[in-house]
Amino acid sequence: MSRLSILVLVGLISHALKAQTPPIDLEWTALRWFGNGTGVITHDPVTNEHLWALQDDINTLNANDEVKLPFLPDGSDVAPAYPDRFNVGSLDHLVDLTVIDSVPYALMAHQNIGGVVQDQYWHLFAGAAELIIQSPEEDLLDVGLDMQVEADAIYVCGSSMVGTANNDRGRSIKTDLQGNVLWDVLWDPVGTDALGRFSSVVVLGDTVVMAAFPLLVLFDRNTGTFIDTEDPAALTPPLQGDARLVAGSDRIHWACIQGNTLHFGYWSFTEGGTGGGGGFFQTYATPPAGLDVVLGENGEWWIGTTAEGQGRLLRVGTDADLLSTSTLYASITDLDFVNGKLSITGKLDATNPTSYVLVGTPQP
Amino acid sequence: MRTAITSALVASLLPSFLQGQTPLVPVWSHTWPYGQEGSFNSMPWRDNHVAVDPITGLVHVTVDDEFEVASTRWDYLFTFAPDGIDLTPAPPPLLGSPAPNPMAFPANQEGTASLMARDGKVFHARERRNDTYGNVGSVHCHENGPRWQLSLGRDLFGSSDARLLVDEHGTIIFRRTQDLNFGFFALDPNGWIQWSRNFTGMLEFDCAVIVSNEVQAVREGTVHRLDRTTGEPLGTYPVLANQPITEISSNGTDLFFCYAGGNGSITVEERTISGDLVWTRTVSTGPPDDGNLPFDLEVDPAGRPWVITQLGIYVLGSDGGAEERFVYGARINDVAFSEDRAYITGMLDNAGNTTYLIAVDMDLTTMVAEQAYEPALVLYPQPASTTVYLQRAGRVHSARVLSISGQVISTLGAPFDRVNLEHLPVGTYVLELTTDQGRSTHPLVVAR
Repeated sequence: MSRLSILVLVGLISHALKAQTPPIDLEWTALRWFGNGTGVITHDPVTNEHLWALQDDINTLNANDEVKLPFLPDGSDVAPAYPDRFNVGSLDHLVDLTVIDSVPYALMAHQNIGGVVQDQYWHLFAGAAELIIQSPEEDLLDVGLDMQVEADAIYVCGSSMVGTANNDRGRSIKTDLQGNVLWDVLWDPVGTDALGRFSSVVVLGDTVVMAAFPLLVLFDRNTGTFIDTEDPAALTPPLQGDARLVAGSDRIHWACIQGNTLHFGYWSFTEGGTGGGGGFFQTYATPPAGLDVVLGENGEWWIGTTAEGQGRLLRVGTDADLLSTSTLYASITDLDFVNGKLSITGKLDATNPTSYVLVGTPQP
Repeated sequence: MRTAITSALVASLLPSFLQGQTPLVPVWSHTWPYGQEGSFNSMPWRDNHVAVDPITGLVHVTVDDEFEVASTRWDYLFTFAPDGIDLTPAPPPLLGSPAPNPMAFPANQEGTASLMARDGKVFHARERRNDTYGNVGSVHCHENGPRWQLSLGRDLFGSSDARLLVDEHGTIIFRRTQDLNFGFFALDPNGWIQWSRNFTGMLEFDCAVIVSNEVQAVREGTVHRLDRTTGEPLGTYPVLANQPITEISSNGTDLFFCYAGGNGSITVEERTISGDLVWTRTVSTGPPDDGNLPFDLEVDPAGRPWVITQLGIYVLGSDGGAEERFVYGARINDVAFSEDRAYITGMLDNAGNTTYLIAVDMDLTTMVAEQAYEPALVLYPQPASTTVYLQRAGRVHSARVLSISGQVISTLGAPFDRVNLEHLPVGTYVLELTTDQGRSTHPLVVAR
């Protein structure tokens, strides 16, 4: 074995990982010694290749950008020595990522630190096209929070500040697959218990549904016209928080964190809301942080979050019945479910920035 | 517990029954007419490894696909029963990790860094040269096909070999990490990470071993003790006066260390699990060139340390009291043990292009040849244009000529003393013989 120069042994970092193994047959795992818990994983449904995005917070590959780490379907690392990266300027970060037939769609956040007012805005990338999303009045704060890529359009959501400070509105934009705006709507939460932002977006038939919990806010898919609001949990006090949504065939499944409790449930046009409290929750010793939900097979869906220093993976039935709970390493930051494979990314352990991604097939 | 004084006395009283340099006599052997991979990280033997599954008894060997039957020149995985019967499926599995742009990666830039087997699973660590610098590492589990893999990313220095240890609890992996640190990872047999431990700083770990419920790993003369179950540190102890350790091994209770002295010698030590010296012995090896440098240390089931160099194997007594140098072929690449046999793989001759796997009896009285070594088969002339003649001591049951990709070209009839080559185009072929000792293959070169 070849040898290196002797340098000082600086220290030793370790972590024993106690896990209740998730009910999946593991196919591949990747570790990288950076990323610090901001990873995003996506699985191309056409090529079956994976793209893992990690912040290069140790400046090893591309200083502080999110690097794109491609993997073949079997987990083979095919990243070049200096991978491609996401970068729209200083203080940027990747919010959401989808790849379909090798075309990447990315939602990024950016703060213009060179401005007199340090404006924040979104960047939507649809392949090579870029759409910059700002407030109707410039120099105000805009935050993109979620993206949903459908066969014919892209839906993004978040918030835009309107007029004066502390006047946030929920905002949603529909574009074609080239990033051309088809509609752009603002929603004022005044008079409701909701915060002024849309934390998640899904499409259910002809309706686009935004999460502004305790409410679901419904818009016409074709025109962006406001339709109505719904309270899927109907809890008292109201369930406020940044919920995540995923659409099934006729139901919208949701998860939302309030305090130390992770609530979950579903809503449909015909059944109304079920879940939240009443057995449809998990309570932890510390407040869960981060949240993602994905639709699995046979009506199942999966929730990933981080609580008590561990990633938490919940397998949920179509009726929001909790099928299993698992722990996984130090955190779960993103989930993906494509072509029968569940992908999970997060931090490996709490004491260093090591990131993991794993892909496997759920057990029956 | 033995003491250093007691063991030294025992060693001094042992008869020196192992003397000289002795050719090994295989119980069975197998050869491949390829595998002489060129240099990659100054490790020409990188691709050629052997592992024995302690549960099934199967013997696995990796051989470089030198003829590029697979365009990326990966490694074949061959499997043999303990009696030498070739159990390799057809076509043989190819192990490898694909490059981002295969056209930009010359051959010999990907290889098997470590090979282990247990309970039907074959674990192989791989390193691949990156496009500009550094190695890309991965660890794979193969069980009747690919089972799982772990991607370890880039090592900036390009010097790392991902190394594997395997026991009933799973796999221990250790390798340099991307940010210049060094990581240990424990995986269960299904690939789930059980614990990780990251050592900061740029020092490299040379080697590690599982002993009792500990992982003991060495770098720069210090042994780091980790709890096998949790990875928690259990302390350190110094060895060999801060000399770089070449290898570490264990007999299940004690540890054995070896390092190459600068004057053509190898020093071997036995220590207790807490680092107390039991015995130390220095063996003269000749000129300290690459061929005489130890690159592996194994302890056989009888407790004897085997120090492995390219040019020979030094087998010491279990108390360090004597040594014998065994030789076979032109180069020894790897050694693995079952309960009663040693399996050795390497290159048969420097001029040729042949990889061998041999099984030798662990009983030294039969392992040592009583007569001069004779090759099991002589083919002449080589290359040949019309006819090649076979001269072999034992009985041949059948013989076939195969293409290098394994297709049967012709089947020979008795008495198996010659092969007619007139109908074969110029090229390299494989002569496959089935004898009392099993099946063996031999290169056959047609030139006109």
